[in-house]
Amino acid sequence: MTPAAPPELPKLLEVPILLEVKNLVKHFPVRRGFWASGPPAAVRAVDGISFDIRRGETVGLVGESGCGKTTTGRMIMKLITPTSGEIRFEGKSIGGIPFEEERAYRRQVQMVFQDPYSSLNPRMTVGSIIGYPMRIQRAYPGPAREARIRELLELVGLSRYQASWYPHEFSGGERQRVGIAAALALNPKFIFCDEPVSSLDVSAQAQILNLLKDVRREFNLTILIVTHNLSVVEYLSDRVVVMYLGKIVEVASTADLYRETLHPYSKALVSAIPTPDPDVEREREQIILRGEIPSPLNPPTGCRFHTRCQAYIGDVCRDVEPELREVRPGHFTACHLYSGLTAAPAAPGASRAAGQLV
Amino acid sequence: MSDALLEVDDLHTHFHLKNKTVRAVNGVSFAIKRGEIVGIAGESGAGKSVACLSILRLVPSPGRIERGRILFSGEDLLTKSERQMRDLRGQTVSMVFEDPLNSLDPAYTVGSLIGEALILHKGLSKRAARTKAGELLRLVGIPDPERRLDNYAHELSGGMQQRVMIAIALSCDPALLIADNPTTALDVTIQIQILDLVKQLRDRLGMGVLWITHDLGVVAKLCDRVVIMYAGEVMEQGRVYDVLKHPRHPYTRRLIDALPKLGRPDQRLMPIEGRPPDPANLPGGCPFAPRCHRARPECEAGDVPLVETGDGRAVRCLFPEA
Repeated sequence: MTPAAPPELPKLLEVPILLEVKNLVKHFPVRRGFWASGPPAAVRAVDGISFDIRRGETVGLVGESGCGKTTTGRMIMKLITPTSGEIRFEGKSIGGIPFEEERAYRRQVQMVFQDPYSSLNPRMTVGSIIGYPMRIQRAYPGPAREARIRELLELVGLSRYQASWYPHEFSGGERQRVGIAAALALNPKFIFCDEPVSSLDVSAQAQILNLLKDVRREFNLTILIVTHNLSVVEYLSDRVVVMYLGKIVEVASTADLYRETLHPYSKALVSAIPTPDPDVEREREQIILRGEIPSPLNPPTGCRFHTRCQAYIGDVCRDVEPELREVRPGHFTACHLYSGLTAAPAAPGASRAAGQLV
Repeated sequence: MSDALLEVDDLHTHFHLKNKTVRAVNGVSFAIKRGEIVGIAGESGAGKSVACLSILRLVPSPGRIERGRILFSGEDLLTKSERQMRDLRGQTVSMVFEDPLNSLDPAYTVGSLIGEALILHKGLSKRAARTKAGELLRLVGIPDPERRLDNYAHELSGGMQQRVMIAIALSCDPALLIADNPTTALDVTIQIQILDLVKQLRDRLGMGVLWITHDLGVVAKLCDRVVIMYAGEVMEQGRVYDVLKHPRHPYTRRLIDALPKLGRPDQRLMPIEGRPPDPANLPGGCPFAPRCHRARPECEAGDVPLVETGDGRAVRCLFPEA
């Protein structure tokens, strides 16, 4: 398994925080019939989450469809406005800032999209696609822009002569390289990657993951990567945030999360990752969750996972919402197994993990 | 192999376009026994889906099955009339497609979609079909099935829709279930529910399953045997454990090395350089040779035969790994 406890942890804590998310909430109101009574309904996509990302860190945001991970990313990108809560970038709130400041913010945060087929304009050459952010932000004027486009193309492993090509002349993996080049055009500090490899073939996926790893190191980028693929997250991220139905259920360093998963939902997620090693498949515990994700229109009371949880310990799960608590150093989870609210002692599997605790 | 349920032998399916011929499937052979789950794995464009559509003779025009034999319970499907094929489809051999929402008619309720096959193939009355449809929904693990019968497809979640597809496919107790990437659109926890369901149904009903996927992880979780395809040809096949643990074809090896593996995040991924060949203009010899790290001049000289090495294992490579 993974090598011993991460010695970088204390070092990491000294690194300044780049992005801070505090009690972030996004409710999407739902149109209802004329005769409907009661308060207006809303899809509670993100329902009060807090986390932070340090400079140079890669954080993976994982969870199933509808858990609010993409909504969170889009709020950070200022593509949608939060219902409440705050996002702070380099210590300053990004909400309600004047136009010029917002423009400067948008220069520093960029996005890599999920689908490289629909995210590139088919009527623009890739050169103009990569040059577009520079045009908008009036960066690299004159001949410097062409030089920058060529430089970016080579940086992402394409040829400088391909600037005049159109997106349809590239394969899926190459298009995603174009998307990454466009995201890097303005030298951003922060990149939000929304499922960057989920529409790619195995080999292109490996190339893009390696490319992201390389550019991250080269430019000391801070990355938030949203994906449902936990092996991708393990490969790229330093820390992982697990979400379920608009709430954070677990936050841990990648090594800790995979070595000692605390929350029952994260355990099920980890156990469901298909891995091509038949020995691993044979040995590991297979947790098969019952049922489906409940509707975020009307999430369950108490712990939102209690309707599917295999470690359900009683009424407390149904009635009381667990808080996100630091259970081990740097390892947070929101689960009553660890909240001390019941007489029930440690979690199942805790004895197995006990020997590995520091 | 007398106990084979399905035997595909030297199948060639080509698409004749205006000025070129796309050789999507180019000499594919494999077999499925009763009660066996066989996976077909490979990247997009490897010919997996076309091979499966060929089995049901559903290849869209201008595609044509050029040659080969498809023996189902000993009978050659390629010699059957269109009418005989129609009786077979959905009844003895059924198929589940990748995108459930596009495959389910939005104008019909779930109950009538499942009932249609039962009324058509089994001659059940409307009332009996509805009862059976309810049982099928329960079988595939849909809670509160009687109420769901009156839902339309768009009212269900992706996992539910895929279960309905499987329920339709199972409605006439097929001997063979063909599934084309049925879990790619689903979340991992739902995917594992479906994989578990298919395994249970195989155990209970003894049907054979042909599972197309590009995810070797799914193969490891679900299948008994695996066929690795590349550029319309079988590169390697055998028991899942043997193939994934000790791949002999360089392509299989490279596919595995390109995947991020759990618990080994420090190991740099090894992508396969280059692109798959243009199926309208395949190179001579081994189609993987231009990208292969073990290739020698002989590889591109002439056709490379699929060599059986016993125990159902076969490799199409002149210089396989030991």
